[in-house]
This record gives sequence, C-alpha cells and structure tokens, in this order.
Amino acid sequence: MNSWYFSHLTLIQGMLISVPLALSVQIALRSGVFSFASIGFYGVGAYGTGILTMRGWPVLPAMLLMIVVSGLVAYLMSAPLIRLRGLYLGMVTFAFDLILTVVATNGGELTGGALGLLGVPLGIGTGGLLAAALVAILAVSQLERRAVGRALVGIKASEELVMSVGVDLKSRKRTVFAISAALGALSGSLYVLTFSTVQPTSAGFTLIITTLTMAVIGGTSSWIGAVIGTVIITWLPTLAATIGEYQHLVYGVVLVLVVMYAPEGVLGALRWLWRRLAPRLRPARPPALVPSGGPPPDRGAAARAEPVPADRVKG
Amino acid sequence: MTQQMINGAVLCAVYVLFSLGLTLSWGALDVLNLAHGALMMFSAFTAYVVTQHVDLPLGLLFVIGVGTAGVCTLLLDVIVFRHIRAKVTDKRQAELLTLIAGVGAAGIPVTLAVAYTHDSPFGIGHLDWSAYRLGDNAQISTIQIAIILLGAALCTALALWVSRSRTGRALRAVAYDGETAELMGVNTRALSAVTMLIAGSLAGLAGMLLVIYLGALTPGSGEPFMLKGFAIIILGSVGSVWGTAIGAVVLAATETAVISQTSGTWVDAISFAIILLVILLRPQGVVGKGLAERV
Repeated sequence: MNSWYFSHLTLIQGMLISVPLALSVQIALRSGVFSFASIGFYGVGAYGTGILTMRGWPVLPAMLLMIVVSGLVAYLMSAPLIRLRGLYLGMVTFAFDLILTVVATNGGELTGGALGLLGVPLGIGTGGLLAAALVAILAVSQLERRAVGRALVGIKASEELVMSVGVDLKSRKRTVFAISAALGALSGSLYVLTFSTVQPTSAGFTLIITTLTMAVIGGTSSWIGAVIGTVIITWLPTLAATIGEYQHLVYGVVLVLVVMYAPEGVLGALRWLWRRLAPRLRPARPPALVPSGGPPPDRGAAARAEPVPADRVKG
Repeated sequence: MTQQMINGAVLCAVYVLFSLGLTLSWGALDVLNLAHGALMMFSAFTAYVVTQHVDLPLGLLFVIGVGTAGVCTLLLDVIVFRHIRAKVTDKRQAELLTLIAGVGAAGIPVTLAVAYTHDSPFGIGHLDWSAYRLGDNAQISTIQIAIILLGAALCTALALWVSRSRTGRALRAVAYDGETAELMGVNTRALSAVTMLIAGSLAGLAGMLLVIYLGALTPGSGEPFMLKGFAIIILGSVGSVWGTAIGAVVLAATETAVISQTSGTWVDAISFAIILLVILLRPQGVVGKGLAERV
C-alpha cells in the first residue's frame, strides 16, 4: 500500500487538485451557466498565489486572497455575461481564458513570460490537498442541498418557470459564477503550491477540454458526477499503458459517446440502473397499496423526468 | 507597407475560406462545429502522410486533402450531430451538446497527427513558386496570388449560391425555420449533408493552401484558427457570407498591423478581444439586422 501510494503520488495529487476545478465547471453547467471562466481563474489563482508566495507571503493568506479576489472579480464580470445565451457565454469565457494566457505570456518579469513561474516555494502536502478537495466538495454539496441549489436545477429545466415562482434568477446565476471562479482559483493555487511551477499554457485549451471532459463524463447533475469524472480521467491513462500516447483520442471518443448516448454522464447511467434495480431489491409492498392492475408506479422516475415546457417543444 | 498589404490579403483569403465553412453550418443548421479547425489541420496532415508513401502531383494531393476534411465533416454530422439534433428537442441543449461533441471529436485528428509526427511540424513540399517584384521592397509569389484569387472567387460563388440558387434558397429557409421548410418539401437531410460537405471541404482547402504557403503546419495549428474563425463569423453576423468576408478583412488587417508594430506576442489576443467586444456590445454582428436571439 505504502509503495503504491508513493509511486502514484503525482497522480493522487493531480486528482485532488482537479476536484475543485471539475466542481467549478459542474456547478456552472448544472445551473445552466455554460461558462469556462473558472479555467481562467485557475490561471489567476496559480499565478497570483505563486507570485505572492515567491515574494514571501505565507501560503494560506495568499491562497485565500486569490480565491476571494477571483470570486469578487467574477461577480462583477458576471453582470453583462449572464444575460448571454449558452453558446455565446461559452465562447466568450473561452476567449477570456485564452486572453489571460496571452497576458501571462506578455507579463514580463512578473509572470516570467512564456516560461512561466519557476521555483514557487512548495507550500502544501497531500493532506492539505485532501482537505482542500473535501472543503470544496462540502461547499458544493451543501449548496446543492439547500434551496439555492434546488432553484438552480430549475434554471436548467425552465428559466421561465423558475422566474414565475419568484426566484431572482440573475443574482443566483451571478452567485454561481462567483463560486465557480473561486473554486477555479483554489484549484490553481493548489497546483502551483504542489508543483512549484506554472506556464501560460497551463490554463489553456487543453485544460479546458480535460476539465469539461471530467464534468461531462461524470455527469453534471451533482457534485458526485464531478468527482467520478475526475477519478476516471485521472486514472484512465494508467489502466492501459498503450493509452498513453492516444490519451486525448480516447478522451475525445469517450466525450462524443457520452454526449450521444448518456448526456447525464456516468452518474445518470448509475441512476438509471438504480431505478431499474431498486424496485426488485426492495421488499414487496402489501398489495393493498398497489393500484389495481400493474406494478407500483415508479414515482422517482416520473419526478425526475425533465418536463418539456410547451413553448420549448418546437425549436 | 505594400508587402504587409500582400501578406494581409493572403491571410484574409485563408481566413475567409476557413470561416465560410464554419458560418455556413452554424447559420443553417445551428451546428457550431468545434472540430472545424482540427479538420483543417487534418487535411494537410493526410496529404503529408500520402507524400511520405507515394509521389503524387499537387492537384491530386489537393483532392485528397480537401476530400478528407469534407468527408470527415460529413461523417461527423451524419453520425454525431444528426443524432443529437434528433434526440434533443430543446434547441439550446442541442447546441451545447453539439459544441461538446465537437470539442471531443477535435481531439481525434489532433491526437493522430501528434502520434504520427511526434508533435513536430509537417509540410508537403511544393515551396518553389516564382515571385514577382512589386516596387522596391515588395514581392508577390504565384501561390499568394492563387490564394487571394481563390478566396475572392469562392466567397463570391458561395454568396451567389446562397442568394440566387434554388438550393441556396432552401438553405435559407432551413436556417429560418427547419420544420416549416421540411413541410414545404425541402429535403433537409440531403441539404444538411451537402452543407456539411461544403463546410468541411472549405476547411480542407484552407488547410492545404496554408501548408503550402507557410511550408509547414503543426498538429496544434487548427486550435487558434478555430477561435479566429469564431471571432470572424460573429463579427460578420452568423450565416452571412459577405459579413464573413468583412470580418476576415478586419481581423487580418488588425493582425498584420499588430505584427508589424509589435513583437508579435499580442497577436492572438486580437481575435479573443473581438469575440469579447462583439458578443457583449453587438451580438448580431456588423451586418446583422434587428435583435439577434442570442441573449
């Protein structure tokens, strides 16, 4: 166990660092906010924490400062962004991330140019990473459980419906945007404190795709999906040595297949299985409670089936 | 100055060819194909692999490269995008799933090219083109002339096709309201197939011209093009052929100016800045009329 732990330490660390980032994309997608902005804030967190700690700041204040600043900046930025339709928001935030990589490349001595930051003091152990990942999971899962989170599910199903019952959609979406950015900054900070280096391309195109794959493969309906996706994407390449070179090809194929056949991800597939198996595993109910003719109605499935509002049926 | 205008015009022609395919499929079929850039690279890559094994004339290489991109785009539409369109009734949801599927699909040709070339530049030769002197310190080569003419000709042809021909009218009807168009007897399946084939072929042509003009491409060459193409088509209003031409001129001119004035590391930020500004300030683009249903 011990030798396995040490030989896989980098993967374990990478996985724990990815958890908040995957959550940041999942929480946004779950609320119908198709945003990649958290990847940009991952870069902000990594560079910010790196620069501050290299100038003698203690680790925790530097991290917290970057997380809070990212959340605030994202909240301010979100005002014009959240009125955009999904696809356009996606592309704008895509552009935002890539502009940041150009800025980092041109940052001169502060950001180290194309080479990035080198020699950031190591400031966190695996225990710290685990704690941070758990805090992120706890925060997101609590958010999902409360009324805020339930309203956010509604946003995805039908924005009009949610607004009609008096939910302030705009402020909810802006909050999600800010939390997503804070999670991204947290992940970036963890990265730079663990691996002591960051390059402009670290928060670029590849990271966007990898993180999106994690969230989508796992399933965006709950934090569990993001965690499942992170575990799968981290360990998939180690399962077969041959995957190594073709890693991104496998990701690509898997992503396409998931979108085509299981848009709810692994989590959706598991839930589907559970719905099919659960009635058989449960002890039979007294016949009096069953409506005559036919098996007991599957209330769970009916409740979960997404309603299609009449005005959305036609494209 | 003259030299920079020539360089800008060549860049602009390549941008036009690339972006026309993108705007065609998005405008008509609501398919923003994020694998477009990767397939552009893949056309040149396929031609490169062929030249490694047999010696073919340039014309045949073009047929192979352009055909590869066209057929791959068509297959992507038939296998993946059509499946999504048929299964998902919510238009927004379908668009997002299409986008994600495109990102995934883009990984396939890129990984193949990286594995084959070990992530290094590849070219297909044919670099010796005669050049003509223009004035004191400018020259233009035959391949540059060919690219500029091809860009202008195909842009005009596509604009005429969309605005004048029967198929073009059907395409516009589908873009406006697919279901009604189908009720009016438009064969939307065939039409979407033709559109995707043309879109992919245009990407392939851009890739082939680019690899000959620049001498080499890398497996990652498609990525920045994807975002530049996106900047161009939203600047020029989605679905508009002439708008795309305007967008390409603006981007190419700005980029050429920035390259000549600065060290060049800021160039990529231009297209990203265009995306940010246009979407936030004028989401319907420069030639778009009225309120776009983008917000």
